This record gives sequence, structure tokens and C-alpha cells, in this order.
Amino acid sequence: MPADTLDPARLKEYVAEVKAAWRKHAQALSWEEKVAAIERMRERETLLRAAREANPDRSPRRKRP
Amino acid sequence: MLQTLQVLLQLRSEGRLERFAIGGAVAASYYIEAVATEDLDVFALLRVSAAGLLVLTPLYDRLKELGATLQNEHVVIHGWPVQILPAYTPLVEQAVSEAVERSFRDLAVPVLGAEHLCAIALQTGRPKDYLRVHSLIEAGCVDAAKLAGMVDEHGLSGRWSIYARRYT
Repeated sequence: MPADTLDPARLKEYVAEVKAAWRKHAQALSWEEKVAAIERMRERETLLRAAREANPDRSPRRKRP
Repeated sequence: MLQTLQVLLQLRSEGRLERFAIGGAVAASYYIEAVATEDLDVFALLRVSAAGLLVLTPLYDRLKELGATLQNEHVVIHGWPVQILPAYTPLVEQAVSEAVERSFRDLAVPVLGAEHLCAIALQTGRPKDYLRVHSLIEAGCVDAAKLAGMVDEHGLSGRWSIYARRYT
């Protein structure tokens, strides 16, 4: 990340630029590539769920405010 | 996913599914960036018996023959939980009838149009649905006049107002 992003206004602008670039990239993918991405997300979620169920004591809990 | 879609197309060619179209997050990913989803939504026009009832047994029996398994409200076809939703409103019927075939590898797969995805999302009305409407409009893939026509035709003005208040 460039040093000038320490400036809060510039940081906001930089985040917006990165988000826009990512969105442009994500939208430019073919449908097959996007579906492959969805399948990878599902696999990760399945692994996480299995890990949570195997170790219920270690699953992250939200702190009460 | 390829095999899942192949099974759905096979069911259509066998006449078990009269007409269908992909909806939900997988259909939206044709137009906008991919988002996580747990299942594949399939909207279908199904045959009605002489008594006026939807009979799903032959469809599910054939799916089982093809190796699918039932899991709550889903049919798991080649690893993908598929939710087969009979066209339950005039809007969904219209959406399925007007779906356009899109290329997925070497398959021609019917996918709901962007405007219909927006209108169905407005009709469903959960926060994630409004977000989908926003993403589709922001991506520039929605014909505003066509969507406005659907909002009027299907009585979605109230939902549109909620969307406009929250997201524009």
C-alpha cells in the first residue's frame, strides 16, 4: 500500500480504487470462471463448517457488548 | 456444476421438466461478480395433473434414478444442492418463459434475464435480495425501462420504494 494512504482521505480514495479495480476484474471473468469461484467458496465453507462441528469449543464466539 | 446442468437439460429433453431457468446467485453471476451461495435455484414450469395439482413424483423418481439424493428442500445433483421451485407467481412464470439460453462450456443453459432477477429479488425482499438489485443496476446490465414496466405490472412499487430509500 502506498505511503500516502496514511492520509485518511487518500486511504478512503485508495480503498475505493482497489474495490473498483477488483469489481472490474471480477465482472470481466467468464460465467464458467465465476461459477468455479462459487464452487471454491462452497468448498471452503464446507471445510470450515466441518472444522467448527469437530471443534465446537474452538469456534469463534461473539463477545457480548 | 457442468454435470448438474447436464442432468437438468436431460430432464427437459425427456419432458420431465417442461421448461426451466437458472435463477438466484448462480444466474446473477452471469451478469455480475460471483457471490457465495449454498445452492442452485432452478425455477420451473411443471406439468399440472388433470386435477390441477403439481405432481413432482415422476420428476423426483427420475432424479433418483440419475443418482440424485434428497436433502431437506434440496435435491443434490452431482454435489450441488438444487432447489427446484415451481413457477409460483405470474412474475416467475414470465421470467422462465422469457429466459435466454446462455453458454456454459458447450451447453446452452436457460438463465433468467437481469431485469427478471431484479424483479424477483424485489418480490422476495430480503436484505441480500435488495443488494442483488443494487449490484445488477450498478453493473449497468439492467434496462431501466423494462424493469420499471415489470415493477408496475407485478405490483412491486412498494418494494421499489423501499429499495430506492435504502440504496439510492
